Formats: sequence, C-alpha cells, structure tokens
Amino acid sequence: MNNTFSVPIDDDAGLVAACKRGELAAFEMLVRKHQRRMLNIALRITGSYEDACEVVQDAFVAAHGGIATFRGAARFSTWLTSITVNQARNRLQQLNGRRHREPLSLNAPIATADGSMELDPPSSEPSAHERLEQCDVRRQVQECIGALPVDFREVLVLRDMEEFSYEEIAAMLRIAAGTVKSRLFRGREAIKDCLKRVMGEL
Amino acid sequence: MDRHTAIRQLLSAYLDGRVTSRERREVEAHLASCQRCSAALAELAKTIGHLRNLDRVEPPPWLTGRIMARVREQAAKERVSIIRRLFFPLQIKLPLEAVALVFLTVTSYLLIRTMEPELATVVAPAESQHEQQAPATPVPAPRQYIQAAPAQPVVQKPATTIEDTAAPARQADSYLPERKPALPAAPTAELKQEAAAPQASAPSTAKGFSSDFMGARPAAEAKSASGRDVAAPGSAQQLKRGSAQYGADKEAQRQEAPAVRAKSFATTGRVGEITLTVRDANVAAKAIEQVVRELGGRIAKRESSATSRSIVVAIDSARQPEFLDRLGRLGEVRGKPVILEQPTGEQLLTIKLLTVSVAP
Repeated sequence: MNNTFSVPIDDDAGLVAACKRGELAAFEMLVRKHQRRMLNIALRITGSYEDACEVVQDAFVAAHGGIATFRGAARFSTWLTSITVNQARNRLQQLNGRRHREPLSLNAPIATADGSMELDPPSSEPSAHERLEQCDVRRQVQECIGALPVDFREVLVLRDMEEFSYEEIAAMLRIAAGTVKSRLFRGREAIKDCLKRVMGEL
Repeated sequence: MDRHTAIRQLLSAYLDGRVTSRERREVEAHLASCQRCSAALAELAKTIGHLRNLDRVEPPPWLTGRIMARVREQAAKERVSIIRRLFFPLQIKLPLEAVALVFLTVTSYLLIRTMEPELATVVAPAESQHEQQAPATPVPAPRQYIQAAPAQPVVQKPATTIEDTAAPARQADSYLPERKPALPAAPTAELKQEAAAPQASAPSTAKGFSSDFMGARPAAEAKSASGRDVAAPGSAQQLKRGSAQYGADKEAQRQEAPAVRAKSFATTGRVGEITLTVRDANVAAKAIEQVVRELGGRIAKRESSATSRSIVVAIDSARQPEFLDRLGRLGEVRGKPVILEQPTGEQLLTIKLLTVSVAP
C-alpha cells in the first residue's frame, strides 16, 4: 500500500527535535497538546474512560521511548495516534478476557453498564433534558460502536470522529486504502442498523 | 446484484468524496430517480453525524503529571540500561576473559609440548652427562632394560651396513626416543668411527671392530652384573647384555667430549684394546702373529702409522687367557680387554704396540 499523500509540515517538528535531545519539558508540551485527542480516541475504541486514561499513559510513554527513532516521515500526531490505537486494541484484548465490555448485541437494546455514564463530560452546558437526550443518544451510539469488531471501530473512530484521511488511516493501521473504504462502508452500515434498532429511528 | 445494491455500496465513499467521477455521475443519476436509495443515503449521513457528534471528553487533571512521571522513570531506566549495556560487555567480559585465559594457557601448553623436542636438544648435553654418570658406577642393569630391546637391532645393524655410519645412528635414534639426538648413536656410531679412524672405513675393519663391540665379555659381566646369570643360553642374550654393557662403558667414557665421537676413546683407554709395550715393534708383531696362529686365531687387521701400530686379532674366547699370557711374555700388557662375544665365539682384540727404549 502506498502513501500517496504528501506529508504536511509538522507543527510539532521543533518540539520533536527538542525531545530527541532529551528535553523532557518539550515532551510535556507535546503531551498537553495531544492528550485530549488521544484520550478520546482511546475512549471510543475501548468504551471505558478509565481504560482510556491508562491507554493514553501507555501511549505517551511508548512514544517517548521511541522518539529517538522517530524519523519524521509522518506527522508526530499521526504517529502518536497509531500508537494510541494500537495500545487501545491491546487493552481491548486484555479486557475481553476479564470484563465483558460488550453490553449490547446488535439485536438487543439494553441499558449499558456504568461505564457509559463516564462518557458524559462533566463540563457540558446543555439543559438537563437535552443532556439526557444527548446522553441517551451518545450512550447508545457508543454502545453500538462497542458492538462492532475492533477493526471497524478503528476506522470509524479515525474517520468520523477524528477526520483523518483515508491514506492516513491506511498508514496508521497498516492496511490498504481500499480496505479502509470497505471497512468504513460496512462499519457505518452496521452502526446505522444498530441505531435504528436501538433508537427506533435515526 | 441489482442496481440499488450496487449504488448503495458506493454511498459511503460518495459521502467521503472518495468515488471516481464516473461513479459519482452514476450515483447521482440513480439517486435522482430512486427514492429508496436516496433515503439510504440520508440514513448513512445521519449515522455519520451521530458518530461525529459524540462528545469529546476532557482528560483528568492528573493525566499529564502521571504521564511525565512515567516518562522520567523510563528515561532513568534507559540511562541505567545504556550504562549496563556499556558494561554489559564487562559482565560478559569477565567470563570471556576467563575463557580466553584458559584458551591461552592450553595453547601455550600444547605449543611447548610440541616444541619439546627442540627444547630438549638444548638440554641434551647436560642430561647426557647426567645419565652417563649414573650407570658408570652402579650396575648398568637398568640401562640394559632401556637398551635391551633396541640394542639388538642396533647391534645387528652395524653388521650389515657398516659404511653408512649415519644410518645406524638414525636407527638408534628411533629406538631410543627418550634419549636426545646427541646420545642415541652412541655405542654404534662411535665405535665405528673409532674403528675406522676418521678417514678410513674399510668394511672389514669396521665389521671386525663392531664385532669386537658385539663380542661378549663374560668375565666382565660375571664381575659387574650383580648376581646375574652370565652364562645365558642364547648368544643373542649375551649379545644384548654385552652390547648394553659396552654401551654403558662407552657412555661413561664419553664424558669428556660428547660432541667429538671419533676421538672419544683417546685418553682413558679404549675398550677392547690393550697396549703392549715392547722393545721392537716389528719383532713383537711377528711374534704376536705366530701366537695367534698357534692358538687357532687369525689376524683381523693390521694398522700402522707413523706414530702407532696396532693389530686386531680374533681369538677364540676360550683361548684368550692363554693368548694374553703369551702376550705378557712379549712385553708389558696394559689395558683391560673387553670380552665381547661374537656369535662364532671369537673375540676381537686390538693390540696396540708401543715401543720403549727401556727394557721392561
């Protein structure tokens, strides 16, 4: 699979260079800049806020460990994201053996476990009713995502939530762009079907 | 697959703008006329909307601190491991050095062992002197053991190939591996060189002389061998012992000049040789020959030079005492003849004639 997109100028290039020199302060700046995004990616893939926090820590520690060999062929954020996705996938495999985090099958609209409550940001501003609705919908969306196999989850999160390009996704997941396209199609269809069952209508 | 299905399969990519121009035309053309597929497109768009609409969470306040703490911890570990990697060789190095030391030790040991022959050659003269002294005084019995086996072939060899003094020497070398190259030829080579006085190597003389060498000396053996049965059944046995004995004596007498083989007998008296001091050498020589004939012996060799004159006689061992007695009447006999027995029972004796002006 070829990456046909040209790498845009990395805003983080300077910080990365400083990190390579061993400046931990520079790395902390990178952490602060990217941790939110990474957390959300990890959250959507793992479905758990607690696990997502662990995943993000692991991802940043792994990134720092590999910063010396980071050649800058991709942007730092893309590189960091692929690390995070990988860590999230690994954690999912660990979790599947211990906790059953797939509360919702494609056929049964069931209330989720307590984990879904953590999805709600404490600082959101909408009204109580709206929040409830949103909470409800988001909860259900997350549940539907959780029902998907991780391969489909990844592409959905990266494309529809983080808006990475097909090529970037292909590079991060080490799959062909055509595979990204087909996975997106099937994943979205599955979410659509799931939501229609859960919510009655979209 | 019907048209609707085919179109619907393109809708996802169509929404992302990832269809070809042709595909886009087809989709839009179909959607314009197909409500069901248009509804499907709408549903897909909503779904994506929901996905995009998922809330974005904020990281907990402690997250950055936790991350940096772990990063610092990892950085510290890496420093230690780098140092350990530098010294990792040390951890490996010590056993490696131990192995290298063992290897070197073994190598040098083996090297020295293979070089031992050359090294030993340097030490040879000292050693040979050492060994000569030992048997000179005590019974050469132990030597017999050493030389018993090799002596026989050594002894026999000279009888056949006298001319080449080197060959038996080599033979002796191989039979006496523990002896150093300087030594082994000892009895045989020296004898021959003596007998053949450096220049001459007449086969008969050498042969005679070597048979002198081979001649047994029952008397001497009876005296020196400690209680050994001198009258050995086979002459070969006596031959061996005799040659061994001879070899022992030769060793003892080689102390002065181990390197000079030809003249090693010069001063201390030659084995198998007696000196007869007479007034007139010519008269004495004739008398000796007559005695020899009377006793049934023969003249093996006559030698005369400006300074000396010697006669090698072959006398039956039984009649040697008588012969010596007769010689005593001709002049003064000095030296002790070594009785070395030939297979035939003959004894070879070298009589060196010395003339003096003073009457005995």
